[in-house]
Amino acid sequence: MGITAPGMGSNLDVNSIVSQLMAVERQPLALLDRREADYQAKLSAYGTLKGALAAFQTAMQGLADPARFRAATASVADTSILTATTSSTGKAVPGSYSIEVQQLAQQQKIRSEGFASTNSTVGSGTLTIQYGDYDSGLNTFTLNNAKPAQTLTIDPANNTLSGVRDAINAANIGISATIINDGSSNRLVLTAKDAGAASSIRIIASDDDGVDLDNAGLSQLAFDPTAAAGTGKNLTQVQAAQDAKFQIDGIAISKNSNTITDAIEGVTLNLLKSNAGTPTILDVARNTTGVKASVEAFVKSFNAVNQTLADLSTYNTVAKKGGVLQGDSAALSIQRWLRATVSAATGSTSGAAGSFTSLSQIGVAFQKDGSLALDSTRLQTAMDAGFDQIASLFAANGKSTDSLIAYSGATAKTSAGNYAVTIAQLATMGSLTGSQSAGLTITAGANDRIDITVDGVAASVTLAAGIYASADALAAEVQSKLNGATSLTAAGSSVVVSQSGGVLAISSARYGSASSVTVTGGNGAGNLLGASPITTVGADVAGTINGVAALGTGQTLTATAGTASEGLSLIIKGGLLGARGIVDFSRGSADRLNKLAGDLLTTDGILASRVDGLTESIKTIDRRQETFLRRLDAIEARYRAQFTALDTMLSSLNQTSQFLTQQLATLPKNNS
Amino acid sequence: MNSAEKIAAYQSISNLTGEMVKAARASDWEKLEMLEHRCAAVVTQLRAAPPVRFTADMQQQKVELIHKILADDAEIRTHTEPWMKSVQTLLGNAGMARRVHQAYDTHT
Repeated sequence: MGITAPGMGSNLDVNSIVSQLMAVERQPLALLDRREADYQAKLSAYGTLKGALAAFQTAMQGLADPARFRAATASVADTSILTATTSSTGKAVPGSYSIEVQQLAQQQKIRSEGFASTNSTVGSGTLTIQYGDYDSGLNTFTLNNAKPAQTLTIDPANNTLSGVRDAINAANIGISATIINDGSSNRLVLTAKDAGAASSIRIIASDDDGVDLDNAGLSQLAFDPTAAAGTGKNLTQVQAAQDAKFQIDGIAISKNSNTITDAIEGVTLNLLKSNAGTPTILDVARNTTGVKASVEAFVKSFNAVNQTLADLSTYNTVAKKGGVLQGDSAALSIQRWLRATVSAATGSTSGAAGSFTSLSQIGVAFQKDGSLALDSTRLQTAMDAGFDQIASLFAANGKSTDSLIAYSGATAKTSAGNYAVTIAQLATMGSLTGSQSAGLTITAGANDRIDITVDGVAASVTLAAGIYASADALAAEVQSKLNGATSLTAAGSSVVVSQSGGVLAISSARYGSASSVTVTGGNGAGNLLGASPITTVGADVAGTINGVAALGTGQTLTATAGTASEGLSLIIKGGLLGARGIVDFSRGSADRLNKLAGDLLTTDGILASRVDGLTESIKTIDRRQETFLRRLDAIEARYRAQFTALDTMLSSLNQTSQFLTQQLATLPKNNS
Repeated sequence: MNSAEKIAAYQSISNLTGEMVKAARASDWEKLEMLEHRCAAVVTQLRAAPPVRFTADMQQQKVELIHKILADDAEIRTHTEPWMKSVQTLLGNAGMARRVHQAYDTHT
């Protein structure tokens, strides 16, 4: 703009200089203000666009889940018998099932004889609560390995009826205790928390009065279903523990709960009532309504962000005004990329009949105005023809040709494609096998303790003393104690203890190289496992994906960086070694749009760089305004100095003229 | 200072005011100021000098010079006064504009 203050020595007309100065010098200031307002408006427009894209990304993230497009619904003809729901993982397979419920699962309930008062002294000692299966025919009680025994100490501090009730409830050991007053006496009622035949209760008393079976002292609460009433079976059963028994399409099923999650894959049954002899029908159907809603949500989300872009970047014929981002290359690019991503063919290259490769095949198509619209009739036709293929159009989805290989996940870097899988080694679990048969006599303080490390987590357990009937019984005790160890349950580890020819083997339930069982000490280690038990460390699955060695962790095989299949994660549940078919990984529209929105919104993305540029421009303008104001100051100072000097000069000139006028006045008259 | 010297001083003031008129016409304020300084110095000398007698010719010459100087003075004012007035206005406006800008400027 180059405005310079005119030098006072230049031969210019001062008035014109002043007026020129006034007009010209004000211009850039107004211009800068206008430009800054422009930039601010753009900045705000980019903010709006970012908000819209972030909302769009969230919506696309949700729709990139294949389960959204595989959902099934379950309906039962007679809902008084049972109800059914499908899980969100979308594993339910459409079908119709005939269901007949013979009996519901229930928990055992036992009661004591009457006590005069809730404060009546019961006795002291210990109560050991065991869980297991009582066979009334054989009169045997088989311990439940999954539910470790628990011991409760009753001492003079809590030896009343209510004290025992509170001690049992506070211990939280799988039974709840209440006291019922029948009008003349108080009875302790114990209820198992878990239903099912395997959760029958046995209570062994160790009575401080020295007699553990009689009906006096703490042994009044002993309950061994195999003993004779009054001599160890001193409580009365009110309700027997039993499993739910039902048939699905004639197949007899027994479960320890009325909520069954593993009978029909992806469907949870909730049994309510017996209907023996009159089966009801369970229908599992594709949730076409849910899928349609998901497709509609996709269209709606796209249109919302598209509308925001249009509002910001096009000429509004009603307002006769251009959008703030009209002609902005970033806005135009984003619009173009969004459209291209929606239009692009989905990489479902399996070539299976009825597979879809574009959204238009299921009725989602662009309108003249650039928005998307859904043709419901076409969507319905498509769902009827290839329901299972729709998920791949939207979500990131993998399909395996081998039923023992499951797609587990992928990362942003995984490319769509068909990837061959070969397995060189299956995952195994770590285990420990004894070097000799286990001794069946366990003596407290002598050989009852064993220190074991499972999956790197140490646990020390003390076995119940006694002479075990069999190696199986001893194995069950070891497993029960280990699985009850808090350090292992906290770490999510568990073991399976088995015996073969009297030799015990302890196996971790985890797969892979992190799975291991080692014995580290304890006075009972030698008796149980021999002097030199053999430790076998678990192995990770090994194999290739897309011809490149993949990373195995437990049963999970993950394709390594640097290949097209990078990040593809598969679970190898079993099967043979060698070539194991193909995993077809595809990226649907929602998944790709999610990624696109993510890329646009990153800190080094196109929007961020625009915003940074504008912020910088505004700063520059601010700096220029400052400089400009400073220069105005300088000009003013200069004018002011000259004005003052001239003013001084004029007053000096006044004095001169006064003096001269005086001279004229004092002239002698004759000389004038 | 004798009479001849005084006449010479009036002559020199007249010469200077003549130059000053030219400078004022050209809006050369710096030169104008510089000339006035010199002029004021001569006037100071004249004022300090005791009165002397002039011959009639010299008196006549002195009156003519004073009239010429006062005429120059008048012309100088016709050039400087409007300029000073507009500068005064400009300074007033510029100060106002800046104060307004600073008061409403939200970006600094």
